[in-house]
This record gives sequence, structure tokens and C-alpha cells, in this order.
Amino acid sequence: MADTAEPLVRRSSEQESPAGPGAKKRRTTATIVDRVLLICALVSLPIMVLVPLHATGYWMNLLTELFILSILATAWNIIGGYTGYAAFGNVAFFGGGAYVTAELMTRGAWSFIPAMLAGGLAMLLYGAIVGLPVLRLRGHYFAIATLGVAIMTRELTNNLAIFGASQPINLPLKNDPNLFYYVALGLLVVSIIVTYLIARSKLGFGLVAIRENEDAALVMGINTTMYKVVAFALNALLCGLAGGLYAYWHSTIDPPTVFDLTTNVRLIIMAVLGGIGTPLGPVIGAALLTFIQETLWKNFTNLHAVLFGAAIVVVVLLMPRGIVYLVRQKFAWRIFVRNLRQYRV
Amino acid sequence: MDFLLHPSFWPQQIVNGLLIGGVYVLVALGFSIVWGILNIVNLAHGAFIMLGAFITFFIWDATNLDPFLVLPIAAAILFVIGYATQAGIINFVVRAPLLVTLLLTFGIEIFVTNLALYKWKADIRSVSPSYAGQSIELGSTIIPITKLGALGLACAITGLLALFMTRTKIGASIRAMGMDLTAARLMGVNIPRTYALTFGLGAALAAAAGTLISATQPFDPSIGSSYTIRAFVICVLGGLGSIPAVLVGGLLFGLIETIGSVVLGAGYKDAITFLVLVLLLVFRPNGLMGKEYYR
Repeated sequence: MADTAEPLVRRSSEQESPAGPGAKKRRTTATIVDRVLLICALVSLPIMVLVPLHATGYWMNLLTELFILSILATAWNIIGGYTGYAAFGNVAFFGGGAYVTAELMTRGAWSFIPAMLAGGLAMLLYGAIVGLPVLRLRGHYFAIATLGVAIMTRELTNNLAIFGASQPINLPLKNDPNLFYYVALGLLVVSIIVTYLIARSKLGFGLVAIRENEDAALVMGINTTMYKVVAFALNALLCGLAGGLYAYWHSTIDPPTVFDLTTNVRLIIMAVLGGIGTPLGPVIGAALLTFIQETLWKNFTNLHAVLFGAAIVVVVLLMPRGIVYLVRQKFAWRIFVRNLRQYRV
Repeated sequence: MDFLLHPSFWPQQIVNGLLIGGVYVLVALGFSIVWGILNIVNLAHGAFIMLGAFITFFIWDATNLDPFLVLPIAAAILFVIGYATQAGIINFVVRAPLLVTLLLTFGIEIFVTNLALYKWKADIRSVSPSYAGQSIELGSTIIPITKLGALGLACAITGLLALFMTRTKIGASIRAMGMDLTAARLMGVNIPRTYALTFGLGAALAAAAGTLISATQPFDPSIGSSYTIRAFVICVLGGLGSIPAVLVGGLLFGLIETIGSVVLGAGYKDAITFLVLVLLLVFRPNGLMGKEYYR
């Protein structure tokens, strides 16, 4: 069944003009909504920069975590959203970046920023090496292969003595919430800009072409292998950077936390909830999902995970294409009904 | 590494691998059918296995009925749950892109697993019938009787399923649907109902696997996801598209896992498993004996 794998995002036949890359200078609802979203993001940036002046520790923690998750969702969007390859192993790069940074800072006595950058670059390389064979697979097979890479990476970290052999690694303590907040915010802004640049470049057009029809893209002269590997490696780079930041922020890391497989799925749900294949969708999804989770946690401590599962089911059923696509159309309740009917057997 | 050369070592390990492999066959069987025919990678499969194990536990606990006799009851209950899940939820997204069904079944998995954790807590339980400790000795090789029973039952169920798929009208319509949806519909197959039937069948097989697991090893509500991943690996190993492929994949996986963990240390078990998986995917993506359609 390998060759019957479907593209992640169906060709946009009805309502909206194609996301980002394909948008012409026509003033459709879609482009207006996209512009409004961009303006909202630009307006909220200075607010975010000023937050640490007033925020309590709880909010600083929550926002830093939200930024890190948003970086991960944005990174996944490059390979999962634009290229249409459902990567399920991004924690391999997140955890890998965390471990490289931790090793450099503890053994090598590097300072934080160079160590984090080195972690990111190491993951760029790792992503390229892993991506070359794995990206030959499509559909479910690619998903499980990347999951396999994540588990393999975790197990190797768990067993090899140079990575502490399943013992937690303690990084130098740094009690400066502002530092982590600003680095996380900076990385998030960088990853969104990277997404925008990709979406408007030849690379982005190539990736979308691969998503819509890989064979046709190949025939049109796109070096699909190189494009896919570049997208995958960029995704790995951003994940690695986020992992390095996470390691220093948490100051203690061990394989089960940084290679947590549910993080994988969480960040994909964020991207889907927001709208995959759009530059700002994953961030919106991350914010909304974190909000849902915090609300559930506060109000139903015992049942919050159960309700979270139910929330995923409802979200996927009612808006399988995410919020950005929802607001691009004129909002009406019957959109939910139509979404529900759209993919019925 | 002297123990590797001991004459009783290899027979015992191979027996252990085959015994656990029998359970793995059943673990992957329902997953393979649902994936191969409905093209749904059911991430909630492990949660169904867990439910099967718990149903067996509670019935055995209340009535002291033999766990192997509880199997049909657990399978029937899970069949109903699976049928309802597919008819009420998954049928709505069947034609959606791959990611949507993956996320949907993942949501179901979180829901079921955490509900079980909430109701039954994280206590480790096990079903131990009166004959649990007994075993057969063949020379120096020890064969625990419950595990042998589980292997036998797994093979029997696999055979029955193969007969069901090839000799009955429902089985034929399920296979037809897997080959060509439109043609099957034109031939009068009720597609939504057959989808639900197939998914229910997959859930019932998961329950059967859960029963065997409950009778042979301790379990708790969080075992599900590890079995989902194993089911996935087995399907890739054997190849999608036929029942014998699952049999081969499951037994082979049991052997690889058992021998790998003894030779290299238990810590490397998963690393080896997934290295094999990734290499296999890259070099032989259709598995050892994959076929295009489900036969």
C-alpha cells in the first residue's frame, strides 16, 4: 500500500485560495485574513517583549513553555505542513539538541548561547543524515520510520555512557527567568521568519509541489530529494535549538523527559489545530492548546487527561483543517457541519 | 558471554521468543486488518488491548472463570466498542488526509487510557489461574503451560480469521472493500457498515490479545502504547496485506526481541528493534512478504 499514500493536505478545490506560497495579489478573504493575522502577530510582539516587567513567575514559566512548544510546532510545519511528510520523530532532534547542549556546557564548560547553537547545528547534520534514507518513504511508512528514529535515539542516549547512561544530567543552575523568556521569544520569532522566507522562496514552492504531487514535482525538474532533506534538516535545526534552550531552562534532563513521545503528537496537534501549511497557524494552535490544557488542569485535575483526549477528538472532527482555514471562510456554524460531512465514508 | 555456548541456551531462547511471538501475532493481527483494509493506522489499538486485559481480569476476579474461556466474552465486548467507535466517530474522517485519522485515533487512545487510569488506578495486576506456575520440561527446555496455551490459541485464532476472511460472505466483502471501494459499493457492499464491522473485528482481536497478555504477564492501564508500536513494527516486518505475513512477522519479532535483549542486554532491546525497523523500511518497505491488496 506504500504507493497509495495520500498527501497530508488535500488539494484546495473549493473555498480558499492556496496558503502562503500560492497567494496571488487578489484580495480574497483568505489574503485579508492572513494579513490581519500577520498584523496581530506584529502588534503582539512588543507586548510580549514587555511582559516580563509585570508578569508573575507562573506566567513567565507558562509563556516560556508556550514559546518552546510553538517553536517545535513551527519547525514541524516546515516538513509536515508545507512538504506533507508526517514526521512523528521530532523529539529525536529536540532531545538530541538538549543533550548536545548539556554535554557541551557540563563537560566542555561552554557558555549557553554557543552550546545551544552547536546543539542546533549538530541536529541539522543529524537530520540531514537521517533524512536521506528515511525521506524515501511516504505516508504511514515515513511516520513510523521517524518514530523509530526517535525511539532509537532515546534508547541509545539511555544506554551509552557518554550521555550519562540514563542518569539525569545536571546543567549549571541559572535563576534568570527573563533570559530564558527572551531567548525563547527570539527563537520563536526567528523560526516564524524562516517559515515566511521559505514560503515565499523557490524552496517553499518546491515543497508545496512535493506535497501536492511528488511525482509531478519530480517531472517538473524539482530535485525532490534535496528539497525534502533541506526541509527536514531545517526542521531538525529548529528542534535542536529549542531542545538546547529547554535543557538550560530546566537545568536537569534525562531521556524520558526530553524524548517524550507524547510531545511529538502534542506539537502535531498544535499545528493541525492552528492550520498546517500556514506560517502562523502552529503558533495559534500552540497557544490555544496550551490554554485548553491549563483550563482543564485547573478545573478538572483528576480528569484533565481524559477530557484532553476528548477535546482532540472533537477538534479533529469539527475542524480538521485548523483555525486559520476556519477564519479564512466567513464564519458560520454550518461550517462545522460541512467539515463533519466532508470526509465521511 | 560463555552462556551463549551453553547447550541449553539457544533452544530455551528460541522457545521463549516463539511463545511471546504468539501473543505478538494476535497483538498485530487486528492492527494489520484495520490498516491494510481501511487504511487507518489505529493508534488506539493498544488501548483496546489494555481494555481486553482488564475485562478478562475483572471477569476472572469475580467468577474465577478460566481466562482462556473469558476470551470470547472480552472479544464480544470489544467488538461492540470497536463497531461503535468506527460507526460513530472514525467513519466521519475516513477519507480525510492521513494526519487526521492518526490524530483522531490518538485522541481516542488518550481518552481510553486515562479513563482507565482514573477508574482503575496505575496498580499492576495479573490473572493467575490455578495452573499458572506449571510448566512442561523438554530436556533442559522449560515451557510454561499458560504461555504454551496462549501460543496455541493465537495460532488457532489466526487460522479461524483466515478461514473467516476467505470462506464467508462478510469476509469476502471486507476483502473486496480493501481492494476497490467503488467496485465493492457497486456490488452491493454496505460500505459504512462493513467499515464498522472490520474495525470491530480489529478491536475484538485486540481484546483476544489482551486476554492472552493478562494471563501471561502483569499489566497496568498504560501498557497500550507500547503494544501499538509493536503492532506497527510487526506489520512492517511481515508486510501488510495478508494474514500469514502477520504470523511470520509476529513470531520473528518475538525472536528478535527475546534474543536481542539476552545477547545485548535488556537496555538495547528497543534500540535493536527500531534499528531493524528503520533499515527494513528503507531497504524493503513492503516487508518480508507484503502484498498489494489484503488477501
